[in-house]
Amino acid sequence: MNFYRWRILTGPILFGLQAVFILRGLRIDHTLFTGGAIPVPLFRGVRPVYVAVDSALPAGYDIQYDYDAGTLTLYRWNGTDWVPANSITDTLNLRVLFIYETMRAS
Amino acid sequence: MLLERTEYVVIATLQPAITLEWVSTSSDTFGTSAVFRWRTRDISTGHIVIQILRGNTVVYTFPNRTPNTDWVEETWVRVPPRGSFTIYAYWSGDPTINASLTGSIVANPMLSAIWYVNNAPAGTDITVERGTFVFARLTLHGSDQPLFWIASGVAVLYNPPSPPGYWDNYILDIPVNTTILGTYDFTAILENIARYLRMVVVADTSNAQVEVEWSGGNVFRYGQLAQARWRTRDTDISEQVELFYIHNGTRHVLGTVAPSTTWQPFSWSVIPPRGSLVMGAKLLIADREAVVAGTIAPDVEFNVRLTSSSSFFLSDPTAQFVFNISVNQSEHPIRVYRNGTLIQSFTPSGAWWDSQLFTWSDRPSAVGIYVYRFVLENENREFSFTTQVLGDSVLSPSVEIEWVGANTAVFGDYLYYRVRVTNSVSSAQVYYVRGSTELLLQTVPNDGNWHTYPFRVRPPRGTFALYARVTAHNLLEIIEGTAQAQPRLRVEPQFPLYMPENIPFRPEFLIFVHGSDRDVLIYENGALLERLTPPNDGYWYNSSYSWYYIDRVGTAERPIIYEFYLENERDANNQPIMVRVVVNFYRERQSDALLLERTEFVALSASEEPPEPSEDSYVRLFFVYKLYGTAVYFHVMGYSAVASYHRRTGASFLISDTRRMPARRYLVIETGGSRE
Repeated sequence: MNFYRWRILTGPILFGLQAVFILRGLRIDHTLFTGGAIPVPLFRGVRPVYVAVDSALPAGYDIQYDYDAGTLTLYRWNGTDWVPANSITDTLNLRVLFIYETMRAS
Repeated sequence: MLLERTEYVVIATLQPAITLEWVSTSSDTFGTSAVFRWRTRDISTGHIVIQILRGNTVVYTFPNRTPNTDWVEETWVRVPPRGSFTIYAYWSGDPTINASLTGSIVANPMLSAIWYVNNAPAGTDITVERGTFVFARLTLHGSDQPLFWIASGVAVLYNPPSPPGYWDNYILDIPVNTTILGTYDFTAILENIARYLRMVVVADTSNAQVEVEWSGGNVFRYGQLAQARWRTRDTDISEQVELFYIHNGTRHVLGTVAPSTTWQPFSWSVIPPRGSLVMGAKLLIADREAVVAGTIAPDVEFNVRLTSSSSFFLSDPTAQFVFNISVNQSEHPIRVYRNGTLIQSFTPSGAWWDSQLFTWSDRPSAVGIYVYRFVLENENREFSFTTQVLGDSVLSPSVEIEWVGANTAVFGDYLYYRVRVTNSVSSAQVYYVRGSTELLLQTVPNDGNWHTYPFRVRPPRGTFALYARVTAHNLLEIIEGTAQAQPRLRVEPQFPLYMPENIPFRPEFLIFVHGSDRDVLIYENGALLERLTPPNDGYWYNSSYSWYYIDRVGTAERPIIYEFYLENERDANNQPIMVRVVVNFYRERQSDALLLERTEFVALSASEEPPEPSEDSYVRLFFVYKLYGTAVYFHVMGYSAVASYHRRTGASFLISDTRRMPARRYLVIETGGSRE
């Protein structure tokens, strides 16, 4: 069982001729989470060009999207630096904004 | 006148008579002479008949005697039977002229007995070798009764010689058999006189020898095998060896075997009673024996334990006193006394207690104190127990308190405890106790039932106690719990973190604090602005606090850093629990930048009204101010490009792809006319 689960909040919303917005929910189960990257869903076979996470992250945590690997990584502030987190105290329910370039994909 | 006329006549008449009288004593023993004398008067004819009568029977008649006026002596020798006799004399001319004399015959029995060995007197207790000529010489006298000669339990009767029919210094020789080894007792009885003779017949002197020695120890427990061995030397060809043991003086023969010059074992399984044990072997012909002596000394074990409670309430129908009894190596019974009265006895099923372990129980039917004594008789061992049967009127009050589930929790969470008050005249009070603090939490009814209550954990952190008290009975029960902190701090700025410089803004934050009793310290660029203290109950519990400060103005060169600390709290990694908010400022605004800041843009397709949303199904961009524009442009840019683009175009919104970490890409939103 994965420690994360994706859920669709909105369908693709067309912006102009080239891009779509998709808002998805991401749940990270703290009882299963021991660290690791989270692959993001593709849209028509392409990766997003922009991924942003909402502000529901607890203090001391942040999520970064690796555009090369196509994965999200949860980070924790250890007082001096951001380091990949390997545990969380509560299950996280986040919203993630995706922007895909449809023209390029087609 | 009449007297004168009386004539006196003298008439001479004859008066015949016989007179008898004793010369000797009238009473004497058999064989003695009874001497008497007689004379007659006025008898001149006929003769005198003298008879001896025993009862009415004439046993002897003297020859006829001529009457004689002088004394004539007569003699009669006394013969059996003993008793009285009569001397009767009469005149043949007229038997009515007679006389009689009474005498008696008495017995004076005498008996002596002595052994004669080889025709020589040898006393009354002799030891002779087999085959020796031995007889008993008995001398009897003064009795008309038979002699009883008892040899080996068999009585032989010897009558007195007849005549004279009584023992008169009579010598009776009775030979005895000396062909069989052994000890023989003889008894001679005459009337009330008994004489005893003993003869021991032993074998001929021999050089035969027998030896016995123990095989192992000579102190034995019950059930143990007492083992010895024997051997013989120089025995006769017809010799027999009798093996025996002597248990406390009583000799028991184990069997008879042929002699052996090599050691031969023999044994006996020891049984009660304790005492001496002798094992031996005897040469029957040579009449020699050898023995070894040992001791039967069992190591007695006796123990009694009370395995039940020493007291119970009479109202408890199944309660009883239960004892475990163990006993070993004793043949004596166990007596149980209750308050001095024997109520139970136990005896071993075999000859002795052989590692017996059993349980015995007793239930007195009345209230009281009972002293049980368990005595192993004759062993000087006993155990005593004092027990008590209680009446229902002395039930003791009690209060019990215990946690239901965990006893550790975080501030604000609930623990549960339960309390029971039994047999109490009053209710109990439960107090929260921490140091000198004592706070009444609950009053618990004294109904004997469990009552469960919540307790909300409060600062300070560490161990606290709950006291359950019943003052009337001076009862106190204590349980301890632990209060823990689980500090959390979250801060949400209520204003943009990237703003144009020199424009006043109000730093307003939503502060969420939980699980701590410490103050929240707010710093601006390292200077303490404010200290927030926990609510009235002393700790933060899912607390949400809106805090703002006076308006500030920033410059592009110097961000404003707000830091929020939970004072003296550390996280699991021993790091301070804090939140840092950095507000950055930019300069070189576009001409319409102000307009953009005050614009709201709603991304909706013109023809489509959103359905009543059950959840988010569209995207709406909210801005603080109204956004006016003819077009909105979205760009996705890398970090290196976005700053210069922003400065160049005055794009209104930059949305980084991370919240706090350095962004890799930005979503740039700008509005206005053509991008060109």
